[in-house]
Amino acid sequence: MFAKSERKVEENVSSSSVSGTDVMRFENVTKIYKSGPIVNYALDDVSFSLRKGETISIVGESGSGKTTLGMAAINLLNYDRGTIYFENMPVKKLNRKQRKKFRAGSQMIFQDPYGSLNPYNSVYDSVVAPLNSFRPDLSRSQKREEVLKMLDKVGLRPAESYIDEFPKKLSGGQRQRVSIARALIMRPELIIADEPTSMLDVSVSSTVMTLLNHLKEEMNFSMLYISHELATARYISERMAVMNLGRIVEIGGSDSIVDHPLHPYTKLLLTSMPDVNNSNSEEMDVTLDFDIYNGGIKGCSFATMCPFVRENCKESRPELNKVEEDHYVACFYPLT
Amino acid sequence: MNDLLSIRGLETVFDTKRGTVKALRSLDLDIHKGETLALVGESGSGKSTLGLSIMRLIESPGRIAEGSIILHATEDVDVTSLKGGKLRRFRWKKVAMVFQSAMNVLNPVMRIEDQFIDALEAHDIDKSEISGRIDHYLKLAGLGPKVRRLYPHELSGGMRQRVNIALALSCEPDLLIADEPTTALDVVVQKEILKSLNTLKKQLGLTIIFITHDISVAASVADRMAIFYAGRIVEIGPKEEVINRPRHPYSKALLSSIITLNTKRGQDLISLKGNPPDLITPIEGCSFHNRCPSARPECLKYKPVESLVSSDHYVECLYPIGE
Repeated sequence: MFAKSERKVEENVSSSSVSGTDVMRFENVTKIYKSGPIVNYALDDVSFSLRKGETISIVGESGSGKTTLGMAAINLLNYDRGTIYFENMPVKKLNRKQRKKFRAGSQMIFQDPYGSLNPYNSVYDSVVAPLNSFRPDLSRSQKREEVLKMLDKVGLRPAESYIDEFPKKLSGGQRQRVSIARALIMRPELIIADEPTSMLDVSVSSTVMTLLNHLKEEMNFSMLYISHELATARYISERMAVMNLGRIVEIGGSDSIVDHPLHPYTKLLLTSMPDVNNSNSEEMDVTLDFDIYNGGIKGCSFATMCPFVRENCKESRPELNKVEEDHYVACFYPLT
Repeated sequence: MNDLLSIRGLETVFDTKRGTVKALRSLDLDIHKGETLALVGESGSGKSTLGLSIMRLIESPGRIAEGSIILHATEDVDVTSLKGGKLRRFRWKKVAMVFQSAMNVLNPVMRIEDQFIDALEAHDIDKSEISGRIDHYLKLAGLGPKVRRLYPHELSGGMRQRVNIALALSCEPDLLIADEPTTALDVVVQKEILKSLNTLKKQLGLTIIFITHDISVAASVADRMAIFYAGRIVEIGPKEEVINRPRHPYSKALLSSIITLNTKRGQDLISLKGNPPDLITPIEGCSFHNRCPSARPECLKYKPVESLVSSDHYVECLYPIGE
């Protein structure tokens, strides 16, 4: 029941783009968690690529594997099968020098700004840490200059008055700005942002989103934006990948996914979103069933809940198929 | 108006080393029977403090320094002066609460049914009645009787929150205070929980105070909406009014800062500069004047008073939007 054939990446997502411009590429990445009789595929044969300068958001509910994906991308996690490429080099096979480049060039912004900054480190100490590791050639004053520049960039102005503060004096939004500064100080190619605003108040969250948006245009990094929330995902990203129980079930341009979702699960997510104007009257009639470990799913991961399920959905697994330009869905009977 | 609860001049304060923090500043509020009132505001605005004050769950260093919370039951009772057995009977039988962290509310080493028995026995419910009640309220919250024999860790977050709702309703309170009941949940489950709350309200004739920072969630459950800022309600009115015609600049800013599915990619969002005022130092004039895009010199000098702008729609601003 756990034997899964390694599928070849055929005419699908990763090969659809010119691989030379990919910053990161996942090929058939699988991560399995086992606990006694329970087997969970946190990542189940995940393939996609992140092009240079683009932002792709990974959306899904808790347990869909989106955070696991982020951890794998930044090489904080050992996966069981598959390969992740960073600028066309397999991350697991990098040599010392290349690994250093990878570490400097891929940075993470975490969800919890209260947990991700060391309370005993000043803003300077936190933001300068990557420079200490990767730029030993810089003098003390040069480093301070860099940190000041970066703080100014993330909107902590005047930078001089923030640089020697400690996190406890800062608000949630300011802390998140500090972690953004820390992530960007090495001018990385890749940023992984795991729900960077979900702990912040709405008005603060909107300023942080605007900031991220400006920075990505200015500094031209690629970003994996991980979120359970489709509205901010669409706001920040050109492309979107929807995950369900460890699998990417739909991937494509953010607008086309939000405007006409092809996978019933994507549609469920969209129709479940609360809406200020209550214009979202459309409802999907699903049987909620979260009581499944996804180790034994032969067919489609959404089959148990899908209102349009047919017999073969439970038997065989749908692959990501191109339905229209830059829009792929893993469903035998995509919505029209 | 048929009110269930009337709050007058409520000041809940927290004594800290730096001074006394006024979390609620002379707050007035009437809660109508049978309505869902959403309290919306950002962290530190006082919305949860109000919920806890009504439940009398404010603990040292916090205290209710002033004001009254009158419950209109067979006779009017001032909740702030309840003690001992009377307070115990008031909690859960008159007013019950559902908390945000579904994970931490249930006792991890007790089966679900034992948690019900505990609560029901403490509130003098007849023993013969208990088992029937458990089944009944679990069913109302959308759970089967199988759940009774399970432990909290065997339930998903959504199911746990349903147990909390069932538990809160099991003593048949008049008022349910739901403090961010869906914040930790996924959208799909959130929608289910909001739907069951709405159904329950209709079936049981409940009055609900729904506390949330998420204005979209508030919009999907509320009849009336109250916007909190710096320990006061700056705007309150029918949901459609507040959302479509916000009169306070803060409400307007809050509404325009949310990102929706229709927000254009990459467009700059309207955002508020600065921080809410420090609630230790007494506030001169309007509490929002330092961040308000349309502040005038008078806003610094005079405290705005609550004024009626349209039917049942009040705003606390010297120069409300649209006049």
